[in-house]
Amino acid sequence: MFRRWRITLLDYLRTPPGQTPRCVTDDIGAEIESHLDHAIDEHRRRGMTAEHARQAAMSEFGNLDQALRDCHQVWRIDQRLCHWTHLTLTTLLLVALAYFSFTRTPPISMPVVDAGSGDLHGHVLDERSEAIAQAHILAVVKTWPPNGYRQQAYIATTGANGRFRIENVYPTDQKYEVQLAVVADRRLLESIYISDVAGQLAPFSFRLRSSEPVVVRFSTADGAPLHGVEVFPHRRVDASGQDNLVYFQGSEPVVTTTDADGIARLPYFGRGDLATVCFRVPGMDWQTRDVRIPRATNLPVFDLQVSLDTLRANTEQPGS
Amino acid sequence: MPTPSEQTELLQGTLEMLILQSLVRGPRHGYSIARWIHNVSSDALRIEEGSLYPALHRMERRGWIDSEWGQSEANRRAKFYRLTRSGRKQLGAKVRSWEQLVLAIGRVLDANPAGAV
Repeated sequence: MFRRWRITLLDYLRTPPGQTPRCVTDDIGAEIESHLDHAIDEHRRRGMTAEHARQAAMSEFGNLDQALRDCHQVWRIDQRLCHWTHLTLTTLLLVALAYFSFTRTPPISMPVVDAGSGDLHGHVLDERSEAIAQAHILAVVKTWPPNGYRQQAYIATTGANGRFRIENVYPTDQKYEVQLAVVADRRLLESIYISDVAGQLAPFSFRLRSSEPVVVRFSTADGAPLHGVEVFPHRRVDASGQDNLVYFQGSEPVVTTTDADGIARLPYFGRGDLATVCFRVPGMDWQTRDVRIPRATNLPVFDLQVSLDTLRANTEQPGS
Repeated sequence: MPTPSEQTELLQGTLEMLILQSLVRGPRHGYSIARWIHNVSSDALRIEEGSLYPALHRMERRGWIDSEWGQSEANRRAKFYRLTRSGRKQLGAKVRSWEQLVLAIGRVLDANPAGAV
């Protein structure tokens, strides 16, 4: 039974609407031809000529066209059944789709990402415990929501009392990590990285020491100043090896631009520091360059010569 | 041998019963079925052979018979029909129905026309 239904279904799928499946048509024709051949054989055995035998066989068979039509009709009933079943199922499917689309299901929307209820807050003071206002707080929070990873940057500045607060940035009931950098004018860049924590974070307390008035000058290989180069302090490693980092993500507030002489002021480093500056010549990719801040009394202007050809080659390389 | 006028036209519905009966002893092709009915009825039952095939296909569609191409006794390619389990049950039902019909007709014919209603 199952085999018959399968054959019928395959026949239906292969057959244009309103026609008998070709395999059935061929089958019926061959079968009737076989019948007539058997009848002719028998008449010839009884002594008829080939022509008379054929006429007798045709006569006994009756209306050949009618027989063919009747046979086809039998199989078309299956085709019609399949066709009506097909139409009915399609209609039911469309009705069900319409029903569920317009009446029952809520509109499809992206899941709302709830960052969490945890706050980042604290204060920024100088070495004399006086508040530092307008210090940039650059935070990056890493979380692991279901089936994913999320890294979100947040920025804030300290108020006149040196305090800052960034609300609802991490989940208190899940694991998270926080990178927090503080960049203030004429103060050493400082950062902290807190990994694998859960729950509410305690207030941060930064005590920033004075920095040196580090100046960098960008020029081309032949000495021409580079105007409009974007620069920000990316990393500061002090003499003790303490690493302080500003993530690229969220660094916008501390990006400065070189003037007509190619000069940019980066007063965030101290003597003996290894300073890494991140810069971008207009139209090129971001690059980094390390500068060792000497312990000498008078700090020079740090010349950063840039080979535009090399930069251009590096910039174009990924796409070429 | 009956003359053509003495040959009996089949009652509607009996063709299927005769075809099923012809297959009880084993598979047959269409021409063989027609010959068998003709022979066992001593030429009394005439099947218009053209009507045999729509009946065979209809019965195959209903699952009463199965078909398969093979080689006939005359060494010709032919489509053989075989009774299925469902067809065997159907034959039993049709034979019982036929016997009841014959019995009823017999009673009518044996009845006294002058008898009480």
